[in-house]
Amino acid sequence: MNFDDTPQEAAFRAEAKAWIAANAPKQYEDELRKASLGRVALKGANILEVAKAWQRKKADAGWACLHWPKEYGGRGASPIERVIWQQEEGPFGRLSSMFIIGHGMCGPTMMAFAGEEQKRKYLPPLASGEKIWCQLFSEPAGGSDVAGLRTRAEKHGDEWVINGQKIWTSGAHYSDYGILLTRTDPDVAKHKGLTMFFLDMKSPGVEVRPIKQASGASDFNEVYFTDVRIPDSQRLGNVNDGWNVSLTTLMNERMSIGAGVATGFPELLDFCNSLMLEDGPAIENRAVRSKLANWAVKASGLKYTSMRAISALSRGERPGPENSIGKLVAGSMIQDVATYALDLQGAAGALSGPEDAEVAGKFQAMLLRAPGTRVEGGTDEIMRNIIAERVLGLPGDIRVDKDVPFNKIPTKGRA
Amino acid sequence: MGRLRRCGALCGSATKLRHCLRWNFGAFRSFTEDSLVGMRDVPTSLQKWLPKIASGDAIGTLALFEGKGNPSPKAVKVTANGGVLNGVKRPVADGAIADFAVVAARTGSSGRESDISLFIVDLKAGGVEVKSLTNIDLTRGQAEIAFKDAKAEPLGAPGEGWSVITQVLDRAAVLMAFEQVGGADRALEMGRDYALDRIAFGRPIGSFQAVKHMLADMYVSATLARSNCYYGAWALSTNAGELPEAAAAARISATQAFQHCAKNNIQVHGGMGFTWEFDCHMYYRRANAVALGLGSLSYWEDALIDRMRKKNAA
Ligand SMILES: Cc1cc2nc3c(=O)[nH]c(=O)nc-3n(C[C@H](O)[C@H](O)[C@H](O)COP(=O)(O)OP(=O)(O)OC[C@H]3O[C@@H](n4cnc5c(N)ncnc54)[C@H](O)[C@@H]3O)c2cc1C
Repeated sequence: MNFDDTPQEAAFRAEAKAWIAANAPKQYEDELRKASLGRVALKGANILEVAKAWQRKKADAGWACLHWPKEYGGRGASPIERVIWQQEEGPFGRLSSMFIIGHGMCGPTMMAFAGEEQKRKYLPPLASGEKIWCQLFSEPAGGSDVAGLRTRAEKHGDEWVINGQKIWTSGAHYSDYGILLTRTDPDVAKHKGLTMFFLDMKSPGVEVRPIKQASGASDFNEVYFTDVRIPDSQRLGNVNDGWNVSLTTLMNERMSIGAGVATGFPELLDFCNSLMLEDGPAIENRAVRSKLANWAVKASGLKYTSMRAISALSRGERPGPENSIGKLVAGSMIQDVATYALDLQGAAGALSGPEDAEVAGKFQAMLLRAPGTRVEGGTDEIMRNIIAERVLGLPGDIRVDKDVPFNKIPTKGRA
Repeated sequence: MGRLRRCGALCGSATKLRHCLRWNFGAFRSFTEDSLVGMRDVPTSLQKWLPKIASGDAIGTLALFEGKGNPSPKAVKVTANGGVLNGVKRPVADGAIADFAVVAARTGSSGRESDISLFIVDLKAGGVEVKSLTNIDLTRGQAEIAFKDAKAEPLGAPGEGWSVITQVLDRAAVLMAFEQVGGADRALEMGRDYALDRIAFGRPIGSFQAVKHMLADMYVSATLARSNCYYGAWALSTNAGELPEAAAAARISATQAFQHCAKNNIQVHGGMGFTWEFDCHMYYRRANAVALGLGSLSYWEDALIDRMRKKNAA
């Protein structure tokens, strides 16, 4: 690892910096800087419109999805250049949150499994933010155990007919397309009867119902499918090979959730820098310092771990299961950081919202969003299983559902 | 109701958050009543309120905090002069529904605890402005109360306010700790029930060691907290000299247990735990709000060690 820019990298950085300085929506910089996990909202502006406009501008100038090939709307940039861009984009990068799933998971899946014509048709508008994509995997009966899903796809001529229900689909309410994992053969072992598709979310028979989250926001949805028709040409990968296709998506998901994942540390450090406690500045208090130091090394450890992963990527190595570490560490860390920030505020820490709470309610919003981070994209427990089994080579759990036909797997808890 | 029985009742009502009302009016009212009734000579200013509290016709609250920070005489800026109060208290628990408040106000400027005295203010009278504040706990309101020449009657002797507050906080800490333990128990029970019912990979999720251990750890912290609370309840009900230390211990371990159980109950529920519909978030919200209401965890950690040190020195 070398942390200095090479001359080319320095030139690239200068170019990115100059372009951002000339083009970024500066009027929102302050608000974006103050935004926290769980709350990116702009006063008097529609965040979706502002985000789409910024993405469009980036795409027109070749700064969108810059690691993608040019013909699919990218720039053909190296992994390092992508990191440099992210560093320079700074707070404006927060405008990308509604594109993360499309760019980080659906795009790579399309890239790997869609036909050439489809890639040229669907990827550029995905890169430019004109079209938003969602990931339709989890179901009531299958989250961690996503291969336990039940949504059926049945072949009728050149089309597939979809019936079933997805749940927790982030952004389905504003998405144009989605990648959809379905069951095509219930008579074989569960991993062997799945097939992946992509579909237009405006297709007849698709119904999106928002779910209100614990935090009060509604970012995810239930999606119902009633006789939805998908042409066979929109199948990704072979029939009954959907599990393998989904692994591509999930590995990319862990990369993209894991890499830039928020820890809350910079915000806490900032807060402690300006906070006065009864006996002096918080930043001079030993107990506070001990906590800060603890979290500082976790945050930097994560940062440099992800840089090592990017170095590996730039040497042509494939991202491996070790990337599960990012979200595992950051998820509970941000929860602890937020809890501590409230603690430092005393009784007033319970107040929330931009008007009534300290630093515009940043840490309260963080606290209420944090439990979702420990679940989305694979729970803490599943991440630990991945590290234990796939990195350390420990034996897996004894599987009661292995090699059992899907329709014979037990589905009830205590009688 | 005896104090011991009251502890039990708080613990019980906390286990059923759906009975928000009972819970809501539980601990805060209890401790206000408890400490007021506990005063040696009931001041005349209180006489008009006591029967109403007893019959449920009036709700009282304690107005102590003034913005961020923990309980401290230095933080009290509201002034009392010539029988009127001026200044702003926030947050005040149940402030928007309370009929009267016991207010800590500044009556001196020596820089000592004896600068602080207590007053009773009728919140429906003139010179009082009450504004509801948003807070993370949706089942217990917080408010800001502004006093502009608000008429106030002294409660207790001048300059003794802070020593009463300290005692009130200790008593409250024990009572609130029971609420916290009740909440922790309920969160644990919800998590356990869900782990028995939810199937993944063809088996109940409770059969995975990761889930089992998470629940076992919740049980351990709730149990340690409960035991500390019983000790606190004994000290409270007998007015034992150990009360300050016992109260801090109960407060700390109950705060930790409730926070721990509430957050991991969500984790056991997976995506379901992060929905509005499931009650998990109500416990999470309450656990984090109640952790701050009498002063934060750091405050009580400090207090505990101070008190242990004093006892050892004695
Ligand atoms: C904010 C948010 C956004 C999301 N967005 C999307 C999205 O856009 N698209 C999508 O498809 N999904 C999405 N999800 C769904 C997410 O992937 C699932 O919620 C997650 O995988 C957990 O599944 P579950 O909710 O069914 O919980 P369960 O799998 O039922 O888990 C319940 C508990 O059991 C534990 N557990 C389960 N299996 C094991 C095991 N083998 N070993 C040990 N412990 C185990 C879990 O760790 C958890 O504690 C989102 C979820 C959230 C919270």
